[in-house]
Amino acid sequence: MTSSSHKLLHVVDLKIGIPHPRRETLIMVDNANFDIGYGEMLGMVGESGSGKTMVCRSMIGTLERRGATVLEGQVLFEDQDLAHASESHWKKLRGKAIGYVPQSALAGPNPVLTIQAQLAEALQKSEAKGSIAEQSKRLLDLVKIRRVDTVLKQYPNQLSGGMRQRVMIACALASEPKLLIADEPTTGLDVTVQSQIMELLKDIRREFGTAIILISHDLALIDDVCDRVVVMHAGATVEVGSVAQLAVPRHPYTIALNQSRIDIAEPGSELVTILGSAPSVGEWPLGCRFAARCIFRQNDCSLGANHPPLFGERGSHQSACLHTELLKGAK
Amino acid sequence: MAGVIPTSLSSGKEEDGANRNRAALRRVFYGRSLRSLSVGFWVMVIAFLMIRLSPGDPVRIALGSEATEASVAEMRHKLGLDQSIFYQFYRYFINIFKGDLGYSYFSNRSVTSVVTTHLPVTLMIIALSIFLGILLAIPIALFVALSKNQVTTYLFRAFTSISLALPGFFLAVVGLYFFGIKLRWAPAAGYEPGFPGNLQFIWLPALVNCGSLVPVLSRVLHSSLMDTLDEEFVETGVIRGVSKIRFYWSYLLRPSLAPTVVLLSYMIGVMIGGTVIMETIFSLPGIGRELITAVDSRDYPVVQGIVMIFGLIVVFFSFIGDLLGYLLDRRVTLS
Repeated sequence: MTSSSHKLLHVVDLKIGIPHPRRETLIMVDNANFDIGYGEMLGMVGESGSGKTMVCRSMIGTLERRGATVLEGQVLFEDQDLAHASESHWKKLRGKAIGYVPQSALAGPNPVLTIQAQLAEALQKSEAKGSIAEQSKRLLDLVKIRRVDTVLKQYPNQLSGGMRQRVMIACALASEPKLLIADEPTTGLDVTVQSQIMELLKDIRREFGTAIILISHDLALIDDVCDRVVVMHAGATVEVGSVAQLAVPRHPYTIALNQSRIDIAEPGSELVTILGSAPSVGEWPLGCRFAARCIFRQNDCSLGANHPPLFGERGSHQSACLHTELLKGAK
Repeated sequence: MAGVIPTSLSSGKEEDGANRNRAALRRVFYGRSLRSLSVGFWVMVIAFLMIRLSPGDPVRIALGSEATEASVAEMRHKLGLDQSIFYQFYRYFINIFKGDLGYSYFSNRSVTSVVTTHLPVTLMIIALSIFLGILLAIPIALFVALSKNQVTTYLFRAFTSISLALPGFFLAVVGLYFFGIKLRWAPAAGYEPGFPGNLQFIWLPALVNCGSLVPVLSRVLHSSLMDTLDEEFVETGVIRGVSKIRFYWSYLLRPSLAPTVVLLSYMIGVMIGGTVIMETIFSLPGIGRELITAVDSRDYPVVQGIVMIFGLIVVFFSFIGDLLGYLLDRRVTLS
């Protein structure tokens, strides 16, 4: 645990659920564990419903809006526990140290406000020098928007998807955050625009040392831009490690994800898919939640009441598989 | 992987953003104006044809059954009814722009004077109804949309449905009994011209009008609010930590209001109908009562004038409503 105290953010044994007055609490995330260092770019992969977005919402304080709450564990951001922050505490935190770029570029910006007005909102808590107008222009320059004066006066519906996402990134950067969370920032964008947005994120990180959490379905993309990767499955972290380490996966789910990559598939060969589908929230099996889909399954995989924890030292290559010895040689 | 890709997304014309906004607004303004003018023209045509196509000869009705052929012909000539229908329309159309809507068959009042004396009363009632309606509908819709309690939504739907199903005259009678007779908060009848003084006479009819206005407005606003709450940009507002007032206005209400505003402007027609009834029940000297009297006595020029004015009011407010909807939310497309 030596290095962990120097990290920017720790997610420790995080459990998130939606309490219900009559029925049982619906668990969305259980056993989420990972860290992110200063200036690091962390990729987060997993199928829909694996709890990626929920984990991120716990970092920006928007769980309550969806009726969800942190049940156990911690989200330590520079020694502040975000997981149990009160609403009044959030009032101070929001719009400052953590920036957020939402999933859908088209629906991200407020449709009834001009770009200028939105940047002004984002700049409320900024301590940088210069008037709001100067700072706004600087931010749009930063995200490589040209014709800044034109764009400032426009409404989001007058901009293309890529431009809107650039604006959202500019807004997220307004408070000079230490951490930027980008939740599938390129969903619904053209491939060329996607790569431009990715280049932009890389530039931002290089220039300002901003740590970035990049949520994506796209393993190839994560390989390309990230330092480390967190693999989520059914609400749990199943594997954490550097991009290089994950090239030799230690969890069957990661292996399966790797095999189903389109970018490295042999031309003409049949595409590999993962067996079955991810267990839905509320229907998680006992023990390892991947066991039912796993080709390496052993008898003891489903025995324990809980999902296996991450084995190995925090910060190293960790996996939540009970039988990593069986995976040798698999890719 | 993307070194060769240009980093700008310049999309063609170098045009100033504000100019482009203004140009778009101008397009909407002219488009709507043109449409309103053409609808307005047809309102005039229909009001004109209404008399000519209605059964019975207005001249004979006006003069009574004992009139001689000669006096009928004379009256016909006096009213210009012996001219061709196109010429009649031409005269009518030109006179409208001169502010001349014709003369009552019975009294010697000009229709213009009937309208200018009685229309303000009706407009006051409608204005107050709309004001009260908005004042009630917005908080109700917001409260229901933001309450996570299913029972609230259920009760809201039930009450709005019941309120819609109750006819205006029933609510008026109940209101009169309760506020007028039991509590003595409102006079049962009468009117006093002049702005603050007339409020005590028109607040109750306006409130009764809200019985049909508030359910419709709050239902539409509620469903728009529910849609807005699901949108991603609402989360952006939360994350940016914008102030409460700004959040409620810019992130919840404003993106949801356009359909309600447009609907409200279309409901002016319904409001006029409701107000005609209210004026009769509360004996208010509005134009609706004049209309009913005129219809009763077949005073066609008065009916024609008032119907045309009502039509033009509806057209005008639809125009304002569409424009306001667009100004509130630029996503609104007006085809």
